[in-house]
Amino acid sequence: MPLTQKNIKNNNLLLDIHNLNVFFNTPEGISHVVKDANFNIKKGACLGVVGESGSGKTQTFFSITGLLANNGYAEGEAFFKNTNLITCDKEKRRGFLGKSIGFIFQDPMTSLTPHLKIGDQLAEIAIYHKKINKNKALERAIEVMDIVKLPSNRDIINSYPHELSGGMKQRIMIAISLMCEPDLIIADEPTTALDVTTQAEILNIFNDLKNNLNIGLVLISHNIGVIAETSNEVLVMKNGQILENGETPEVLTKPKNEYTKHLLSCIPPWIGN
Amino acid sequence: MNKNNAKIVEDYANIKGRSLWVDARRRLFQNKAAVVSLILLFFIAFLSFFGPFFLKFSFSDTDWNSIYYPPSLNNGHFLGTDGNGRDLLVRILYGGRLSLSIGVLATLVSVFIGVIYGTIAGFFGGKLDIFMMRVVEILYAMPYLIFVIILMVVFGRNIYFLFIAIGAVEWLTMARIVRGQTISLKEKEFIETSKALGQSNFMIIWKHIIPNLAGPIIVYITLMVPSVIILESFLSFLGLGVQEPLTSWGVLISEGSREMETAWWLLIFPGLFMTITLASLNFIGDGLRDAIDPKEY
Amino acid sequence: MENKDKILQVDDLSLHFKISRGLFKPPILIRAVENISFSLFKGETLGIVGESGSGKSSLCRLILKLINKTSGSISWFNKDINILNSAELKKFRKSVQVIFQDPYGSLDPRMTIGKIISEPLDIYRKNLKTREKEELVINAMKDVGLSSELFNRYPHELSGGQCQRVGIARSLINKPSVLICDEPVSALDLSIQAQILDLIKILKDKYNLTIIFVSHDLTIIKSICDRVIVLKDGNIVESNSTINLFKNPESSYTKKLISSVPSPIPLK
Repeated sequence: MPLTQKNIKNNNLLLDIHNLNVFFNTPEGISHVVKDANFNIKKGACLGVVGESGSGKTQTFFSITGLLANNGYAEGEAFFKNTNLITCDKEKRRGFLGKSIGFIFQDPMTSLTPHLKIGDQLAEIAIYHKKINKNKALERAIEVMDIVKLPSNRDIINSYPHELSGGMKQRIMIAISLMCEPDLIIADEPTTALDVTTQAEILNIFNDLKNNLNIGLVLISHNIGVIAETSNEVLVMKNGQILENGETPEVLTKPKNEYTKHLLSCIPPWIGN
Repeated sequence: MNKNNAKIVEDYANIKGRSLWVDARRRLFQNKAAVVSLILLFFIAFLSFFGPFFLKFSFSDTDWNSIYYPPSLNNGHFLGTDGNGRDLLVRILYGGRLSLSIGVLATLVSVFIGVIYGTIAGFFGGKLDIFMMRVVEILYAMPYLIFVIILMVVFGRNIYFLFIAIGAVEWLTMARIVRGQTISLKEKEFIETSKALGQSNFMIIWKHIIPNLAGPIIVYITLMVPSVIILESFLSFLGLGVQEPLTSWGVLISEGSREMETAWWLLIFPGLFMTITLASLNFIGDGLRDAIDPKEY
Repeated sequence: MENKDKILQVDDLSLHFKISRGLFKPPILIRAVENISFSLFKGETLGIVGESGSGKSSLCRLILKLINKTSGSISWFNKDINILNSAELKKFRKSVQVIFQDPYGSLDPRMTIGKIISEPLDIYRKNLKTREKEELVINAMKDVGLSSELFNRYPHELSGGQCQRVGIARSLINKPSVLICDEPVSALDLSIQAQILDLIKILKDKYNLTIIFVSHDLTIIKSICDRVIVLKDGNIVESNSTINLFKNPESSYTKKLISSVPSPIPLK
């Protein structure tokens, strides 16, 4: 298969998407929510995905990771480690999610299990994927908490989600995704529910992951500022289509597509100097 | 009035919105169990109220030639007769009238009281709410059976007191449910906005809270009716319910259970009618709950 | 300029509430709003910026008299709003209106758009005939850019932006003098945010509104407000004209806030 050959040669490519289409079966007919998407994600780089609601930005990545709702299905190619995540069987895909591919959802409040301690939730994923025992898992948890700049003391390991602030919870989510040393992390609006000062800290963590750990990142956001501060390349999506795709400085300062220009014109002038 | 606006007003009047009830109705009719149950229930209700006109026997006619007659097609006693020669089918239908009426009417009374009580307690909160709920809890704790017996002994076995006895028990559950729903609704922004607009408390409850309670209330009504029917049957079974020659399903089941070994039909047929009705109400209630889906707010 | 044009005066306002933690622990005292003082002048757009827990939403609800203060005073044209009689309170409510953050949550899901927008008319102008009310509602809808076709529709059939316009139409139909906007665009898409903000600016000029604009988004605050108050943990940390606040922020918290805002111009 010519496409996988390309992957092996170009070993900087982490995820290679070709002709990705996502559909939903609804009572009103078939809904085509992602139309012919083509893009890739490189190691140690961040891909920003900008779009408004209904643009298909989340469904694109749900389809790759097997998180689509029951009435959704995808066609096309999403090559990750020589496997087409769209056509491979569920078990194989599930093997990747949580281990090599981490997914961070928007709302940290509801992403964590309320009745389990933080330490348990961190350990759970390592125990499941790497089949190690609890002690080793907790050691790894402490390593990971350092990466996300959380004080790795007993207090947090033993607390429950409701005792932590929004920013801390989101760091835990990032920590959980790091437990099994992923190659790719997809973050869907990770800072939208957070304060601006907390957001700045989380974005710093993302930049560290990309620069220091060589992890490939996908950052989905409707906030252009967030994209500008973290992404090397950016996709602009509308109605399921990728309207513009290119290096971030290019796209944000010299947009070619009308919609991108329109979006950029909607941002109030920046407040900084 | 501006001519242009007059035209606009007339034009838009033709564009009806798709209310949440229309969506709910569509979802309900997609639920097969609920639809079948609705048809069955309708059929039984229709039979109960109009059936006796087509049968040649009345519920108190005694046919001395056919005492304890099993079900047969020849002599017109399709479901058999009882110890006094009374036709079972007619008595079941008359019993149905009573059981269904009591079920629906007592439920409506308890809903009326429960909604008023629950919205006031939930909406105003504070000490009023605490006091009102303590009252509910105390009443809950009282053994209603003793209360009913006392009522019956003091006032005689009157069907209206049966109503009161049942209503006095069932409104408590409705009040609690309504209070809970009111408390969660109270926090919604559209209620806050109404207050900020200057709307009076009464109007907020009437215009905003009660219509939004309608969903859960309707579901609980369909689940409460069976409970009321069972309660009435239980009281009748104990001999505290309706008096002869009036009958209800509870009375019939009570009589039938005594004759079970020799005249099985006297228990089986009333039991069947009751079971089908209760099961249907339950399926309809479940269907309504799924159809109305509170996630909409 | 000071006393003549002052609409609202808030002095030493505090809101405390206790959260009980069961039988064996003492209750915690939450100081949602602590000793806040400021004035609101006619015709200005006053921005209130803060992060979560800053007390900005509580402050809105206190000014709207939706919750009761613990101490301090709020004066409306020199009258303490706590001691208004019912007629004066009604006048106050008519003049001070609000739009909230959640466009769908602000609308009663069981009412049509027409009924929602006409609710203020039902309260304050009962003597109007139905046709007259309908005309006013249609005009209000036009004002906010809504098609009159939506009159009989329900909130769930509208987009977030349209719902927010409905909320604005409802708040403005009785021509209030003050509009409090509590995070009005935070739940909307970027292009819709811009539309709604423009709409608010246009309506402010058209109806001579005085606006209190609450947000956590500094870029929006800078683009729309004349003066800014910065809240942190229930306290006022800094208060200045917009230009001065952003040019020369005094408190370290304000400086931190400003520097945390991600720049849409890539610095690579």
